[in-house]
Amino acid sequence: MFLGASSPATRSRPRLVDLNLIPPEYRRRPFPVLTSGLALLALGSLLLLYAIFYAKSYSDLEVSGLSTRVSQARAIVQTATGDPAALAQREKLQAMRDDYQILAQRQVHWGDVFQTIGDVPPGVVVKSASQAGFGITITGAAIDQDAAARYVNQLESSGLFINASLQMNPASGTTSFAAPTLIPTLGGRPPTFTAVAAPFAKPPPTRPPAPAVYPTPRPPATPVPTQPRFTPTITPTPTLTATPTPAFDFVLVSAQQLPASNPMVGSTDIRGKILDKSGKPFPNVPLEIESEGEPPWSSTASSLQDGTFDFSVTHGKFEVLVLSGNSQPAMDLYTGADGVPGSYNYQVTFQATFIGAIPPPVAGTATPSPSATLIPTASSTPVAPGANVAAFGCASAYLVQNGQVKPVPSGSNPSLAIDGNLGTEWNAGIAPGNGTQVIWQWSLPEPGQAPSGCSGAGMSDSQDQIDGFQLIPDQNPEGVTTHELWLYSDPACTTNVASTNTAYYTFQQDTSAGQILPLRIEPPLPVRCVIVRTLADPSNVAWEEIQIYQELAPPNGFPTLAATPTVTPTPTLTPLPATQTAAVNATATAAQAAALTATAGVPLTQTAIAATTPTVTPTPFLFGGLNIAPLVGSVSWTTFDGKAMQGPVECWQTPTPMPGSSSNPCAAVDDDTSTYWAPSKGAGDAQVLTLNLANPPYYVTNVDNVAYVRVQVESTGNGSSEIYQVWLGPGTQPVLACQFPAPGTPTAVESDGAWLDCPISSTAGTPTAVSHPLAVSVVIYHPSSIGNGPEDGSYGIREIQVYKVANLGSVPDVTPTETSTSTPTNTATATQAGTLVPTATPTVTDTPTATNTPTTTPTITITPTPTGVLRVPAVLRSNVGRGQGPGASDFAALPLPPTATPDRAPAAQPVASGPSQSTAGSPTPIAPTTGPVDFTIILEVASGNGYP
Amino acid sequence: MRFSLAQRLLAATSVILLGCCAIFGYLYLSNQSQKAALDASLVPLQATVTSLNAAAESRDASDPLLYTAAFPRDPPDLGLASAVLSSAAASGVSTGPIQTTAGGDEKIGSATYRTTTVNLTISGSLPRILNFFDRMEQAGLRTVTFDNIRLETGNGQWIAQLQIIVYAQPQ
Repeated sequence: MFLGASSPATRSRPRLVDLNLIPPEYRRRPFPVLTSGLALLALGSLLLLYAIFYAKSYSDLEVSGLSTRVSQARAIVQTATGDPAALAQREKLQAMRDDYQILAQRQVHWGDVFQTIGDVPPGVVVKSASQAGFGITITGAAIDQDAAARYVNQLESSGLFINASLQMNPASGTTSFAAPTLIPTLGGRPPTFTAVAAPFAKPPPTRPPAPAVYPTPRPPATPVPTQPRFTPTITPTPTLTATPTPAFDFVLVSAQQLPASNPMVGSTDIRGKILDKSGKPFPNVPLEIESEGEPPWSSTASSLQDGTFDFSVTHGKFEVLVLSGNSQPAMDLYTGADGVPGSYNYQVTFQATFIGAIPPPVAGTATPSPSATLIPTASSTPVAPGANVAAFGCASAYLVQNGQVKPVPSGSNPSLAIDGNLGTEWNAGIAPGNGTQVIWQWSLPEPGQAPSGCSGAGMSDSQDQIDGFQLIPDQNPEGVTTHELWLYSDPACTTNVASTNTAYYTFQQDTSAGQILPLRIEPPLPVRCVIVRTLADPSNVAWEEIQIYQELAPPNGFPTLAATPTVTPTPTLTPLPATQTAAVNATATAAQAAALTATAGVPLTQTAIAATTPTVTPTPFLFGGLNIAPLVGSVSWTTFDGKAMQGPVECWQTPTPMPGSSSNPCAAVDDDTSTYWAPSKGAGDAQVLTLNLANPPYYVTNVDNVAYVRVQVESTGNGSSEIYQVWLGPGTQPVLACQFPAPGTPTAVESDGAWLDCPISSTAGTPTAVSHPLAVSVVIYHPSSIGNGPEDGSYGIREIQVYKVANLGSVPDVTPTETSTSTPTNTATATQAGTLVPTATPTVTDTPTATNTPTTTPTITITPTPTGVLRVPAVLRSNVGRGQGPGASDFAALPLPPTATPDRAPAAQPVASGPSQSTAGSPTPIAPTTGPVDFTIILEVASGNGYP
Repeated sequence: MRFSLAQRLLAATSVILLGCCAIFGYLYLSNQSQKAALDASLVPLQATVTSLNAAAESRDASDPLLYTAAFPRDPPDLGLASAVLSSAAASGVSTGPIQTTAGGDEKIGSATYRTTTVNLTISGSLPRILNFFDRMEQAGLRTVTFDNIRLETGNGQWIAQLQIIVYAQPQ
């Protein structure tokens, strides 16, 4: 390449001569890496081969196993399906079997069907019966519609038919309805043939029958046990012959209800004693106890040597009577209802009216025997699921007569209607009418704020959601009543939950003792005041119980629910002085004393009692109206002679004009008994504190009335006696309503904190009548120094409470004929005794009918109870706990309650009389007819299930 | 380049081993494909077998009508006539003329079956007539039915007109 010459080496490079002089054994080995690599390759190949071989071998096993399973499955399938001919035969049998299932439906047991058709009730004649397919047409005649209806009902109840319709027309000819003469039956079915089963080999376990497809069967007939054919014996309806009622051989002397110590106990005792005519124990007298509910139950026993007997019973209502002779039964022995607090024992006493041996039982006598099926037992399911919280509130009662408030004459404790005991009741002792309304009122205070005399624990705002009511009246006689239910959201009964300021609901229906008048409210409403105003009642108004149901508590319960209170018993008063005890016996209760005093025209018993017994238990204050004293228009105070007039001040405004001192008259109307107003020492005597009432809407002039005034005494305890007077009326014509102590009674030292109760009579014609007073004045003075000396500063007024007549809307004067009740125009509320309350939620549109009724038309949605009209017993059918109607005498003369009259309409019958006779599926309306009828009954028989 | 004997031996061994790997690898893959095919075929077979087992264990499998014809092969004319006469005699009803009509057919379900119809009139008390029905229903004629029954009463006697139909397999 250099100088253009080609390189000799490039041009002809000879093979290099191996001139390595190192002996071969000492030379470096050629390619050692290659050798190593080849060795590794060989080793790797070996390992790879092993792995692949292992995997291949494993897969061989898998494939082999799968092949075996597939082969087995194929063999199984092949075995199961068999050859085509066998498979076709099997399919044919299966199809035939399926067709036979259809045919079997036609295989009705016609013997049973025509047996049922032939069993006609009395008064029915079947002329013919035709069948085609599943249809049967029966023609015949019946003595009347009811007989035909009974026949259809009987057919339907047999279970052999799935549809029935009845068509009736007046009878076209004469038909004899005499009992048919039937030939005696042959008796028994023919001997059953033993079917010879075809040879049948049980198939192999895996033999695959084709899936069976059965047609949808018709409703099968109810299996009717085959009965021997027999000729029904038609017994003529027995004619009841009136039998003179003999005198009872055993009369019921007493039936005393004894509450069980555990109100939830499920078993109680009905014990008793049988006495002979002389009052000695009468042993070995047979007795019977019967349950008046369902299912029927009865038991018998005999009196022991000491004349006693004992029946242990569960919850229910029972009747006990002596089986010997003619016994007056002890009825309506209500022992409790499951789930309802209150279980009762009874102590019943019978006494013989004869002398000598035990007479045999009187068969067919007029001994009243109640029908066990006609008196439903008390339902353990109340109208609402929550708790009955009525006992947490305070009950009161009063009358409104021609717009004037009066106390109820009976003196019965209104709390007896909320004591949870159906055995006790509040009885007004008067029936409404002639301008008289009977008011029962319930107020629910805040916890701890119940007024004195009320044992209700009260409830917080979170607990006053009410969603149900059950009113259980007691009345005798039963009849149409009108009870209005007014609901308010505040305990003072000022805020009506009905925006129209009308009754929330009116129960206007036939009622009877123990009947439950239910009302469900959805959604729940905050209710703190309930007023039940009775405008019409054939009996004295009495409530066995008024149950007020709280909405169902949340899972963790309401925040603070006070323990169930116990009703404070009516306090017993110390006997009055001899000069006044003629009308009040030693055991008279406070309420009774109050009633007696009111009758006698004495303003209040407190004075008379306090005169001799300073520590007397105060008369329970149970008036629940609105205390308007804190809301009066103004307060003024002066001396009695009108000098030194001060005020007026408007205490209802805030801040209080003169806070914080005993000279502040607003302290007497601040609804706080810890503060008081007292005239300063040396002030003129007497002192007058006047409350000017007018302050609309709390007190409207010429509209509102005062029902009650209470004055709480403030006393230092070291002064002499003080006279308290309550005056009402316009300033120029005041009327003395009450004086404490009463005129003519010894003066006494009023204790600090004592309440002076002054019910206000607004009845025209009475000396103290004040209608629509404008002012209430409380006068205090020393009897020895009135007008002559100063006050000594030892007395004052802690509180004045002025209760106005509860606001019952703008119709204060209501009579049954000019009722302000809202007459429900829908049928849903026609909860007449004997009808079931509809389950649907009706919308009730009140239709005022009175001319002086507000013209508002509220729409109230109610949900009546689904349990229908129920009955709970008026336990102890004695003059205790029983509403006495006008002219009603005591229990012994009362007629026994009718037991044959159903309290509830029978369950919906397939066929009833009247235009609604058409049974289910009846295509033709049935014209109402009377007398004999020709009928056509079309039946659809239920499908059969094959013959043997 | 010259390879040593060992190198040559190693190389040859490696080649052989790799060849074997290739062969077994192919066989493995072949097995896998075969396994997948078998799995695919086994699934429906298994389902079939399961259903067969279930059917075999059901009450339907014991239905004798799956192994014995529900309908007789031929119309039981004689059996029907015999049953009518014996039932009438045993129940005590009086029988009127008996009219038998064979050769009819009626579709029931999925097939049309041959029928033999007997029209007859019986009379007697209602219990006797009901007894006749009972006896006919228990006469062992599985496919017998009654239709167009008409019962009338008069003079204390009941007269029943009815059709008795018995079914047989299609021809």
